[in-house]
Amino acid sequence: MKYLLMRYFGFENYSLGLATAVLVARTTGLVSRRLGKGAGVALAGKVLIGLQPNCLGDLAQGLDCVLVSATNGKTTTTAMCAASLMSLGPVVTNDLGNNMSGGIAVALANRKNAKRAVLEVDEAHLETVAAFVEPSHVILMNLSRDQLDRVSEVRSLANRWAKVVQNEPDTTFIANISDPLIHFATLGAKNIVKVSLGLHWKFDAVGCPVCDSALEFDSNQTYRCTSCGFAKPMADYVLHGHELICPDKTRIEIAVNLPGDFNLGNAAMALILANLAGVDMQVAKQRVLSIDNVAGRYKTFNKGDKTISLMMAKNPAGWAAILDSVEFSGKSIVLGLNAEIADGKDTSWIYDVDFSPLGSYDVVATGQRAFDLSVRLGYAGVAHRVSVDQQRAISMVDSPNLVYLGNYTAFQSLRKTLGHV
Amino acid sequence: MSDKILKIVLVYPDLLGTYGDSGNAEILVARAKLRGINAVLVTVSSTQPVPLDGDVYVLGGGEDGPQQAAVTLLRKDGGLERAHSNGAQILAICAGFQILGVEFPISKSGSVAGLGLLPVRTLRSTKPRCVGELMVDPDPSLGVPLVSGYENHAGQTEIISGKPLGRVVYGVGNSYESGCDGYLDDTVIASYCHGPMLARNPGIADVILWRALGTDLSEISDANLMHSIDDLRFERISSIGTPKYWKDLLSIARRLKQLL
Repeated sequence: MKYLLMRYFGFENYSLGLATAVLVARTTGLVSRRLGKGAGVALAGKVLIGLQPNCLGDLAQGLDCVLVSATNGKTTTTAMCAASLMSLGPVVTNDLGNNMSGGIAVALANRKNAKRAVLEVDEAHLETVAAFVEPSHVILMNLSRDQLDRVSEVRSLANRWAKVVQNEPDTTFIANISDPLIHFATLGAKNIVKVSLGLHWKFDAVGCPVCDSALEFDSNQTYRCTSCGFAKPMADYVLHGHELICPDKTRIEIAVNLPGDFNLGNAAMALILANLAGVDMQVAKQRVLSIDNVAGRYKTFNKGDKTISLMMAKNPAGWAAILDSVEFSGKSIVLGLNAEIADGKDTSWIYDVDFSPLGSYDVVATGQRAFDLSVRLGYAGVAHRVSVDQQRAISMVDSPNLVYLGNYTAFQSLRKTLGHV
Repeated sequence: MSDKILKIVLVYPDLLGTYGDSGNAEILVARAKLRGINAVLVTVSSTQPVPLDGDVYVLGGGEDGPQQAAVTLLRKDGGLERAHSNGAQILAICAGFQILGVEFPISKSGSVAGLGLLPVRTLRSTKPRCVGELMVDPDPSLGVPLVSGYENHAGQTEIISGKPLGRVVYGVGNSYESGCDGYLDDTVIASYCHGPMLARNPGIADVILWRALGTDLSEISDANLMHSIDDLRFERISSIGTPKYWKDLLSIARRLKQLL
């Protein structure tokens, strides 16, 4: 009887305690979802971890796990990695933005017959998750400031990542060594694939992570410390425009269906993983190209008489990347800024973003902190209008084509008001 | 207008720039230019010498490691100290404020000597980090309204002699005990308010410009910008105000008053 029940729920490898915890967590998640409190994953995760603190290890038993962490691009890269590995068989992934320990446990509990997992991991949770799931590969892409008021300083995160690298000698780290902080964190790695993606944002990495002296960057995307020996090493893979140059000097042409140069970098990481995992390169490229939105991000759709492209970025590096590389000509731009706990209560980072290129466009500032944006734009000499109400801001613009760029909760709340596009 | 070019020096934004602090320097330049005053922003990274001929020096917040690196470099360079003794204006926020004092704490243990330009001392605290909105009733000599900002610091600053920027109305400021924020004298304005500070407090920006130029300032004619700043100040200041239960009590009291 017990066996049949366990089998019915797909729990045959679980202990009775774990099976009960998963059932209770799922029920909580379901109730929370029915009550209209979002997807219920965060709550279910808390329940699961609360009942079975070590469940991550049991749930990941027998799974080949790939972890992806970064300040920016982890959701997109995870989606690309999962899509290409799916050509080898079912893959379990956490695609609901649930990237902390609890949410990952919930995702793993729904693994069904998957033999592989691709998991997006919050920067601060990498230590815990890696220790439990013993990943085969970890992709590390970048570290920059995010949520100034609550997440610890980027350097202490880099130090914690260095510990992960030390604790997991059997794991292969796929590291973007263009970011000095990532190179620093992976210095002790036994198995490492060094990737040079180029570095667009360096304001958070200018001090040497080893000795705090100044770092010198040159036009070739390399860096070296002015006093100790810390410097950018030779890379195994180099991203050069749309081409990924492999260790054997073959070149892979990268194509993506998402705007922005930074998405070429995300795709490069996914293709390198696919290469290491034995996925046919043509198949992997096709699968990466097939992604045209990631949980609503980058999605273009029609609403009334307007065509809206949705963009989301949480921090100055993300905003700068989008403002630098997305084509705005002929379009209106709506900028949404919130300051909920998930965004960080401190909005001062908007002064680290150069808005002056928007000077010639029709711009509307919106979100809870529309006035912060308005003052910022005003001093940058960008003429604009203001509406705290995001839906109204969308209807105010001049052009039938508009690009919306918002931070996390601003973006989520707009998606909700537009009917979960 | 005089032919003088007002030189605003942004000091080590690569080390002291965690909280959008370059915005303060940008705003000083913008507010000068909006009045037809010739102003230039000079950005000095930590590998460059600090010029002696600046009119205003702007220092911002930073993490422990870079903060220590900054004080070592500034002492070796000597430019900021010389400019200060020549009477240049300084705006120092958060870590930048701590650096100007006689000592400040670093990492988990130990402390280092500051530049000693200000008679203040910052000590480590076992109390929770001070994070959140900060509102300060500024020293009346400045003639500016409430100062609004966002604070995020662990160190507790004690003023040895001299006066603070103002009395704390909301938040922590220099320390849990002091009830005041920042430091103020004829050439230095220091505070834990970032946001950046001058975005929300144009009055402070104009005090610095007025002190640097030594002449009265004309009105700024960009009405849109002025309205945005008013709206931002209103929104930020009313966002803190009284706690929710007091708001409820106040509204009940008002209702009763109307009824009677």
